[in-house]
Amino acid sequence: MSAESVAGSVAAPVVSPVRRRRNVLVWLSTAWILLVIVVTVFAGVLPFADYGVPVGLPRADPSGDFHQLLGLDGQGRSVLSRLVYGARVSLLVGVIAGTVATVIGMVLGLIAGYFRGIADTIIMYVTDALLAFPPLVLLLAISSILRPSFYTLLIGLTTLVIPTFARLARANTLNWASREFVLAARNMGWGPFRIAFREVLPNVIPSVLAYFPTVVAALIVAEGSLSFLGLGVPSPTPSWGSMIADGKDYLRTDPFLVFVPAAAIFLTVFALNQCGDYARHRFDRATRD
Amino acid sequence: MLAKHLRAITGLALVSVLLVACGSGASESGSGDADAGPPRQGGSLTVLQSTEPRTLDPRTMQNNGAVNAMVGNSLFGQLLIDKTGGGYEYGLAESLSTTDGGTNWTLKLRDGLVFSDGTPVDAADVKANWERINAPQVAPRNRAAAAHLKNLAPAGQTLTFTLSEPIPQYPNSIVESSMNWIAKPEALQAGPAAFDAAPIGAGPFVLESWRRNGPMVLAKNNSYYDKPRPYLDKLTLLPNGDENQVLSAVLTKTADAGIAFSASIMKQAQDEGLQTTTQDFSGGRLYNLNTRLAPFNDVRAREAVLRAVDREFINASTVDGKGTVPQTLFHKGSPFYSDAPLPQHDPARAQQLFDQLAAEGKPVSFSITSYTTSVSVKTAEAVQAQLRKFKNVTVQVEVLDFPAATAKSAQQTFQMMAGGVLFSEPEPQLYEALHSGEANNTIGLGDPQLDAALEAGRRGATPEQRKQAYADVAKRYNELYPWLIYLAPDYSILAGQHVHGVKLYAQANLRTDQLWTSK
Repeated sequence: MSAESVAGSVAAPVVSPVRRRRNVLVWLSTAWILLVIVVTVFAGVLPFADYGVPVGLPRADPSGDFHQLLGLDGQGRSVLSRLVYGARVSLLVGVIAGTVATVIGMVLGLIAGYFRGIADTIIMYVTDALLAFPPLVLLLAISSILRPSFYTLLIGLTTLVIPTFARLARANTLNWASREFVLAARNMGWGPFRIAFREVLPNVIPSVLAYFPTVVAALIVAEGSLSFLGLGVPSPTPSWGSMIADGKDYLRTDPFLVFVPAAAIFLTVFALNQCGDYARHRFDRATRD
Repeated sequence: MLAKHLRAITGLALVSVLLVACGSGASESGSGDADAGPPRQGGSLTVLQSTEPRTLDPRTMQNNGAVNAMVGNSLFGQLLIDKTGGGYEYGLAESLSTTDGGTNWTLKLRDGLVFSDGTPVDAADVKANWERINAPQVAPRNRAAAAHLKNLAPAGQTLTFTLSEPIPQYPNSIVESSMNWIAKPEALQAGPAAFDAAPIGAGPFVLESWRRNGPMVLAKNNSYYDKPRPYLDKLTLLPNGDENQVLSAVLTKTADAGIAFSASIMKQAQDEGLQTTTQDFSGGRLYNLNTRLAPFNDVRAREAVLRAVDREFINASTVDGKGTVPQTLFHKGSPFYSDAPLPQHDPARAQQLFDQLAAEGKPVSFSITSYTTSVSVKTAEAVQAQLRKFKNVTVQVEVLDFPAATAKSAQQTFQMMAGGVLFSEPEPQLYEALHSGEANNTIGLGDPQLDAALEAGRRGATPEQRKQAYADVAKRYNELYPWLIYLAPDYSILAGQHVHGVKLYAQANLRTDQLWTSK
């Protein structure tokens, strides 16, 4: 039945399509993130200098030479090269820790939210305990037990954000588990695991994933903090946090050694947060409804 | 005749473990303090020290300017003080002499000495303090000086003692070890907690209050023997091992003085109008190459690393090129100077040796153990960055906190480790660091030819004999490549222009009884 047949001769109202706000910041942020990803992925084939070998005098100022575009650090190594290779560590740590934590947290949250009972009690006690622990103290404790390395960072940062995802997934699971289609599935004789993972989980994923960029941003900052404290990846592998730590003694004379990696962290975290906000607005029902 | 003892200067927030030793003949230089006029009584100063002691028990403290000397000198005074240009000035002691070339000694204390609680100080107190140092629970390297003692016989103010071997330079061992500090034995027996709350010594100051990792407030000891010293009514010591923060604190007048370990900070301080006081030493900051363990149990690996590293680059990267790269084991002003050059930068020779070792199935791969201080880490990374240019060599940097690093040094499980040796009088510092079997020989060097030269230097009866012996030491040292000495010692005291009486002795020890302020 068409609108014309109902309304008869009355002309249909002209409703202009909802104008979607185009957020330039989101586009710029996406472009920055893509640029960082592309450059770090292809760093090995691009003509960057070895990040661990001096190419000139220590703390040489930026110049027209490609390796020296952003100057040289305290060991005469190319800041540009270290910035690019440092992004690998910072991004990889953030993304891998974020991904692993998302998967583990989502499964734990799903189990807690759908099955409730003793599983819910145990999982929530553990996550509450972890959330109550000061994050940096927890990371320092882990770093003091394990030898600082890429994998130590991963373990620490993953442990740190699992509770966030678990609670988020649990809250969403509680919401979806009471819907009619779940009841229908139960009436059809589906088992609880099949309902949880086949019916509920697909609906929980978008909401949880919407927080992924924001968490990755927080992880990059956390990695930077740990590296700044000397508990990050060992030298000469650079990370943005360790670059800031290396440059801090020259803040008075060569501030670019701190400002360049700090700007990289700022831009990347800002970009990830912009994308995260957009994703939440787009996929998280709580922010839309 | 003077001698001294080495202390592994483990300057926590400082450079790294500095095996510092200096002795008679340390020359002092500085800027400022000219035309200051007569010392002014009264006032107070706040001085930043690199680290604070764990306890105030003298035997647990390191008598070294980079570590605990300020605290020890303030609370316990000094038996002896070495003088610029040689010889000794006496503090609590009145004389120290030997009549048989360094085996039997007589120490006389001043008459009328009293501890800060008013009880008298006598030779039995010195004996009790020295015997406490030479106890099994004290680390071997910290009791090396006292370990030579035998037959201590106190009688009133006179203590006679015998050494296990003739050591003509033994006074230097006293000056540079905690043997120079005398605490009241009965107070020590009350236990560490009681002693830390109320330490009793015969130094220029007494403890007023001490908050751990915070201010240690010292008040003038009115019963100090050397009136009118101390000049200050109050001295506050604050721990801070970051020399950048020390410079900022003195510039912003948060503190009146502090310690710096690099020439670049000293230069910045001078540019900002602060006064600086320093001493000339031989030796310097270095890396210990452990000759017990691979790869440095092969002299070619040691030579390769020493030839590969451009020390001028380390100077440029760590202290802005403002430091001095030592060219000889003994600096030019030393009476033991000889022109045998330290191993020079030679990349081709280094690569040849790396290749040779790799071809034999022994590629050079090792870890540099660094302290957590920024200067220590930066230096290790500078070495690592340079070696990355060579083939067949791989280097890791291992950053350890102070307790872990000192444990690794003591256990001698490191491969290459930050350290330092500073000395004016090479006895006993050089002997203990390089002679086979010595507790401070952490690199495990054992070379009969070097041992013989060091023994000749220790026992030489005339300056000429000693000079020849140390020329032999320098020559043999250069053939063994045990240390990568990369920078001359740049220890300095930074102070505002209102601070006067900054006097250093021994291992860059600040005499707090001499300090005064014109404010």
